[in-house]
This record gives sequence, structure tokens and C-alpha cells, in this order.
Amino acid sequence: MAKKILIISHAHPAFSKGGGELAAYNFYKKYNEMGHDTYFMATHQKENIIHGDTPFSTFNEKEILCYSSMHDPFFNTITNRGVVLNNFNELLDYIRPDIIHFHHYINIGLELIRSSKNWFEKNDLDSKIFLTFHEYMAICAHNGQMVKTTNNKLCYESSPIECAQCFPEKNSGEFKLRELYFKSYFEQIDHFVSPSHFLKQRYVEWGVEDSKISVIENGQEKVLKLEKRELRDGKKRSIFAFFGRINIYKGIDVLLEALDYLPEEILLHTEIQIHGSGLENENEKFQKKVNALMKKFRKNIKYFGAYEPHELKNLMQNIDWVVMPSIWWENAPLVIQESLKYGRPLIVSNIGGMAEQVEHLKNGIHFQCRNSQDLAKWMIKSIEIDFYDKLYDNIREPIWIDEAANKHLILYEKYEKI
Amino acid sequence: MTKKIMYSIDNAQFIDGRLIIIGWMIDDTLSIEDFKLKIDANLYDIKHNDFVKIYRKDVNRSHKKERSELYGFFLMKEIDLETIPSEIILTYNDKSFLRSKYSIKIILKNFTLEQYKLILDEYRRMKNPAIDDFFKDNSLIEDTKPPMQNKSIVYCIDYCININGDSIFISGWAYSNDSNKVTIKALDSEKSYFYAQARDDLEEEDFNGKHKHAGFFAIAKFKHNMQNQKITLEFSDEFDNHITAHIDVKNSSGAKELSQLMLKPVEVDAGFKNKLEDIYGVELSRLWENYYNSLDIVPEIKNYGSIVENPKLSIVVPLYGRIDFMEYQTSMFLADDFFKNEVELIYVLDDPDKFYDIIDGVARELYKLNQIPFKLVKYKKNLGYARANNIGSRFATSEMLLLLNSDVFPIKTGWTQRLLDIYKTLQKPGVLGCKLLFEDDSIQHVGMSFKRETSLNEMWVNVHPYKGMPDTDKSFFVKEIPAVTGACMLLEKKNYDLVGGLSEDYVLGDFEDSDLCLKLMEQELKIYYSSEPELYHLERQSQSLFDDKDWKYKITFFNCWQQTLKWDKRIQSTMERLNG
Repeated sequence: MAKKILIISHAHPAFSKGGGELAAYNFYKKYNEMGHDTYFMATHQKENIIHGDTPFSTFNEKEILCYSSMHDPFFNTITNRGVVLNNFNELLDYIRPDIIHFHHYINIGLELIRSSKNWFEKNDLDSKIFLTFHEYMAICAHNGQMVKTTNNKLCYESSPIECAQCFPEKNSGEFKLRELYFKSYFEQIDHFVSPSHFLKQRYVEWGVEDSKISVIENGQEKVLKLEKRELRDGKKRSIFAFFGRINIYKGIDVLLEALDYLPEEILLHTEIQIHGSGLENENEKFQKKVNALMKKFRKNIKYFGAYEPHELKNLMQNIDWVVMPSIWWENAPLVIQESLKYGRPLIVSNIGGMAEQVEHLKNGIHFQCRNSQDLAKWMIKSIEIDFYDKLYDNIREPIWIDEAANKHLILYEKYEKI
Repeated sequence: MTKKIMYSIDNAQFIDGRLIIIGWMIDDTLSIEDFKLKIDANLYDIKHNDFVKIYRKDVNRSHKKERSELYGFFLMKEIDLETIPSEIILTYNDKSFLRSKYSIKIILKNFTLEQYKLILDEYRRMKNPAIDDFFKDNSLIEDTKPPMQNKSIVYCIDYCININGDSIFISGWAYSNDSNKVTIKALDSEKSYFYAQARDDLEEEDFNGKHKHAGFFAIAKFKHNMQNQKITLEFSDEFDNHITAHIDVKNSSGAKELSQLMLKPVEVDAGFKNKLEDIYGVELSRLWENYYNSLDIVPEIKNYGSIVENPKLSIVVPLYGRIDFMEYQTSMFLADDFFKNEVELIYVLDDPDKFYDIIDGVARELYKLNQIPFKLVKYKKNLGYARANNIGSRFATSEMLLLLNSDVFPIKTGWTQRLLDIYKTLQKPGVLGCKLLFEDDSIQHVGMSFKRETSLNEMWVNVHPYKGMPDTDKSFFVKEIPAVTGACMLLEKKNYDLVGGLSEDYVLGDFEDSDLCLKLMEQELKIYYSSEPELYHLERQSQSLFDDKDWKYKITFFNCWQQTLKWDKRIQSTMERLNG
């Protein structure tokens, strides 16, 4: 049965290149294709596109942009709450959705969850609210990364005392309060979706009921797997590519430092392609470090800058390996999905969502997280040992958007009956 | 070009018919003839008797003058005046060609200790008969700081402040050059208590270092109201030297400031309790009681959402320091349908300075968001924990009343019903409390008891056993105990009203909860603790009332003393009954 669906995302992919918003947007497009009247609401912080009396503007007919700002990022509440909620209610009156599906809650504000619930109750509707987790914000106040503020070490479990170590200006009670507060909103979500098992597990450990979270990967646009890069005689599989933001969490420095451990004769033929940007936003110390490495290995590094998703196919064609040396857990990185769909084996840190999506020596390689020497070891093996073809053949396609959308719709059906 | 003369008037005041001016003027031809005094419309010449030049080390040093050169002056003129003049001008004509005239406006104020030290120094050195005369007459005592000397006895009054109309707080210092002991009496007082105080500031060189214990503080009670009056203090030593001093009684600025002042010189030692028993206890109590009674409070109440008819439970939550707790609590309470139409939730704003104007807007938005009805009580002055609860309870319409702190949060749903259900099973219940946990899931409260504290003169102190320890016993049980915390207290409204609610005698919070339990036990009712439900009490979140830890400790001591005074026997028998 055709449904009216409202997807609420924390950003619009036209303005922001994150995987979460892209995934949400893809679902919005697919639902419409499948005959469900779907709207896409995205919050944004661009002051120059707002109208006078309303936080809303419209983009592409069924895409609503909502200007919002965080009043308290710690508790994820919005400024001008009264005004925004009034307008949001009006929007719901206007669209009258059967399903509201949140992707993220940061920048959107937790309040909208409750406001949605209140609207359903007021209209005596039995509609349901869903939430897809794209990071660990509810669990971790450090940008939802679960990495310690003090030394960027991985964090395995939150607790008021542990969290207070990362934020000395706050006391431990404040973190329990945050947890209770978030949970009081999550109470009102009917069902959660997680794009990876790893992320689901973190939330289960945090206290969300196991049966309330379903794992559905973000679906990809169907494409044909690319052929392997053509190798000329005597040449080896030695082109490694990095796709993503150039920041400390994505671990670009781990990759560049690995070059230091490559023996001369291998280094000679190794090419590192960097596709991405953002170094200028990082702290000075990190910028200096990366720039120095780029200079040191300038013979091996090709810097391409940022890219558009539609360019990916061509970019992937001319490489062998995709390296994802992230130092944080990752969830369901888009780059991994894309590498899998185009047929490029991945070399990833052995933690979190990365280790889940890539199987060591089956369709890719794991290396010791944050360890450049170990990464170098595997790079050498990747070049010297002839297992590329095996890995390439083993790459199974990721879930396509049709299938992912179907899984969601089945979920919606299931809850409709409840 | 005329050279401008540098000068300064350091201080000036009227004492007993004499105008005294201290200052300095850098003019080599400085001469008395050139000074004239203009007081309101009248002109006065300055004569030789009125004026003495003084060596000012500080002035000479900064202007690089020789030791022999005197640029300071001490001017003292007898002037017969009915009232304090509105304008005093000191005019000075210099000897320059143009005979420049300086008109110096004189502003009267009290001398500081430094000023008088200066004068004393010079006096000792100069032995000028005019000043000698001046200092000999001891009735020229000014009302606060400067020390007056009668050869043997030297004293200084720092404070002389009206506490409760007929009572006064005095502090200062006094020593005798001839003997080690100075006795002080407040003449005409009904009773007075003087206490010695060791003061670091009296250890300085000028006082030969042997007068560290010359400090004193006192409370004196009189038959009549002493506001704007003078008191007479008599200082005497063993050798029959004595001085009398007439001191103006000043008004205090506020209860908080005055109690801080009164408690500052008090040491927290074995003698504290005695002081409380002497007079401190009574006067502090009166001070706070009078303060609160003087406030004209008209509580306003507003309903958010529909009024709950026949609620099964009224919850009173005072807000102080943070109002965002209202948001977190209501966000967590709404998971219980019970709160939609069975609970009467009453928030009391006891922090009006910060939030009086904005809280209505906040509450309105909160109701729209969380959709559970609640009442908001507010008034214009901070009244403290006890009064906030008592006022909030006035608006409670249910038979059952729950006192709840704003930083207490539920762990599971159904917690209020659980409390009510358990209450129904109790024998002669006075109050029911339950388990409270810290954020790390350790014990915050599993009941309270009392113990005699040796370091506090064996007074009864409230004990929260096992605080911060792991909560290993998760079994369900209910038991009778001596007291429970006010952070979460369930009782029948009729019992609350019967014993007059929370006692308003304790200063700035604390002990009201144990006091309530004792009052109820006096009515043959029992105090119970239940290990369920469990709630979080994020205790550190509540803002501290005390920026001054020393004062906080002393107020706690006072409260502790109050409780023991009221309840010594009842606590003793309760502890025997429940432990034995």
C-alpha cells in the first residue's frame, strides 16, 4: 500500500558530502520511484537562503530545507525551539505523513522527535517514527566518534566517569543526565535502523533493546562492476587510493607514514592517489605533519583534490586498491560501499564498521589500526604477492538501493500492523 | 610661568567640635598665614595652635626631599557647629608673584588605621602640645576605626552593628601597655558576651608583635531598641587604667552579610557550642527569622496544561540554581502515563533573581513539548529550601505528597506508583524514602541515621551510610529507619500539615529532612526506607549556596546545634530502639 513518508536528515547532500545525508537522500528518491509519496526535510545553517518569517524553504519540489542551529550541542536541543516546533507542526499538517524517518538527530534537535509523536497523538494517528543511527552521538559527546579527546585513543565504552575524563570542565553527573535525557527521547522512537552490525552493537551496549534495532545497510545505486585496471607487462598492483576528507580521523597520515617503511625498490613503483580535501580545516600541527609527508614523498603522491560522486567511476577505474586507514571506528563508510560496487579491494583498519564490511584476505585486507608499519607490510604483500585477483573475484556487490529500500518498507509494514 | 604646587588632602573629619585635616603640600614657603577655612558661609583663620607640620616619609621619598624637610601637615581647628556643614573649602595662597589661590574642597570621611598610625608616629616624635592636648581628651572617640590611646590602653573598634534591634555585634581589638589583659564591658547592656580573638593583622611591627590576642568580638543585648543609638564600652586593665568609648551603632546590610560577619571571628572548636548556647544561637536564629518575616512574599501560581482533578499524588520540586532540571525531569516523567492525569506536579522557583522573568516562557514551551501538566509557583525573593517546600505544598491537592529534589531522575517507569503501593503496606507510616544512586550507580542514599560527633561536642550529626560505595544488594526490602533524605520523601499531606511542614529554623537548608522525620516520630509515626524504586540523585548538580566554605561549615554547625537542642532525647531513644 502506498505510503506518505517524511525523511528528516541533518543535512542536504547538495550542500554537504557526508555519507549519512546521501544515504537518506537516496532512500527518498527510491521511495518516490517506488510510488510512495516521499518528502525530504534537511536542516541547514546557511543564513543567506532563509526567508523572513519561516525557517523553511523548498528545494527541488519535495525537498524542504529547514534552518536550524543548536542551542545546546551537549543535549542536542535547538534554538528558537518554540518557533521551529510551531512551523514543524504546520509542515506535518501540510504533508500528513504516515511514517517519519529520522536520519541523525544532531542539528535537527531531539525535540522534533517528540513533536512528531505529539502530532500523531493529536491527530489520533497510529503512525510510526523511525531513526537511523549514523554515528554515536547519543553515546559520545566527542563528535559522536568514540575517540578520546585527550589523545584520540579509541574508546570502547561510555560511562559517566569515563566521559568526564574527556571533558574535565563537566562533571560525571552531567553525563548521566545526558544519557537519561537522550533515552527519554529514544523511548518515543518505534524502531531504529543501523547500517552496520558494529554500530548496532554499540547502541545495544549503551542500552537500546536489541530487538529494537534492525541492521539495514545503506543501499547503493546499481552499477556494473568495473574491470580490473589493465596491467602492462611486468607492472604490479601498486596504485593505492585514498578517498575522503583529509582529517585526523580518516588517518591520512597513517597512510603517508607507511611509505617510510617501504623498501626502495617497491617505493619506486608505488603510487598514492589522494582524492579529497579539507586539510586547511585541521589544526596547525596536523597540517604541518601532512604537508611535510606530502613533500617528502612527492614523487609517489598524486593529489587530486575533492571529487563529485558521479566522478567516482572514472577515478576507481585507474586504481588497484582503496585504502581506508581511519583511526576511528567508522560505521558504514560510503567509500567502502563504493569500492565494493566498483570492484576495488580495500585495505582497512581492523576496527569497527570497516572490519565488518571488509573480510580479511577474502575481499580485502585488514591492518593494525593506526600502525603505519603494519600497513606498509600489507602494502608490500599486496604488491608482491599475487592475491589481487582472488580478492577481486570475491568482492560481492553491496546491497543495492532497491533492496535496501524494500527492507525498509517491509519494516514499515511490520510496524503498521502493530 | 607659575609653578603649580603639588598637594594632597589625605583625610578630614569632624570629631567632637574639631575639624581635623591631614595632608601634604610641596611648598617651601608653606606657612600657616596662608591658609583659610571656609565653612559654608563662614571664614576662619588658621592659627598657630591649629596647625602642625609633619614629616611625611612617603611624600619626601616620592618627591626626593631631605629628611629635614616637612611637607605634611596636621590641621585641627575647634569649630562650633550645630550640624555637619555642607561645604568646606580650604584656601591657600602661595607666595608666588601672582599669589595663586588654591581652593581645596574638603570631603569628610573616616580616618583609616594608617592615618592614625601616621599621626601617632608624629605625635610620639614631635610632642607638640596641641596634639598632646588633643589626644589627652579621650572622649574624642570616633565611631569606627582609629585607635585612641590613653597612655596605657589602646583600642580600635572595627564593627558595631545592630543585629536584631535590641542586640549588637561588636568587633575590634584592645591591649594595654601596662598589663596583658584588658577587660571590656558594654555599659547599660542587659547581658553581653565578649570573646577573645587571635588576629594576624595585630602581629605587625607597630604593635610589637605581642598583641596578636588583643582581638575581641562580642554580642550585647539591651533592654531597648538600639538602632541609631550609641553604646558605651569601658576598657580597663589590671592596673586600674580605663577608657570609655562611645560608639555609634550602625545598621547592617542584610542577614547573610551580617551572619557572615558575626561568624567570621568564631573558631570552630570546642568553644563554638558554648558561644551558641551563650547568645550566638538565639541571635542568629532571630536574625534569620526577622529577615524572612520582613520579606513581603505573595506567591503566584500558574497552571500549564489542564488541571489534574483528584490527583493520586502531588509532587513538590523546588528549583534553585538551575531551571533546566525542569526540562530533563518532565522529559523523563512523561514515559509514565500516570503523569498525564494522575500526578499533580508542582515546581517552585526559589531563585527569582536569575529566573523570575524568564521562567514562564520556559515553562510554556516545556508544556507544549512534553505535554504533561504541571504547576509553577514563583515569588520575588529567595526563601530557602524549607519555605519553598512549604509554600509549594500549600497548593498540593492530593492526599499524598512527594517532596522531590530537582536533580532526582527515574530509572524505570512506574516509580511513583511503586512508591504509593509500598506506602499502603506500611504500619503507621510517617515518611517513606527509597534508594538513590549516583551517576556511577553507587549508593547515594539508602536511608539516614544519627551519630554523636566527638569533634562537635558530641552533638548529633546526620549520617548517610555507604555513600559512594557499590550497590551490591539488589534485593527488595522495606525497613524502619531513623530518617530519610528530603531528596525523595513520600508522606501524607495531612501529616505534613500536622507537624507544620518543614521547619524554617534551619539556616540555608540542611537538617530539615531529619527534623521532619523527628517531628513525625514525635507523633508516634514511623520512618521507612524501601530498596525500590531506585532513582538517580545527581547530587553535585545542585548549585552550592556557599561560596565561602568556612562560613558554610559554621552554618552547618549552627544547624547541627539547633537539631540537637530540639531533639537530643528523641534521637537518643530512636537510635537505641532501632539499633538495639
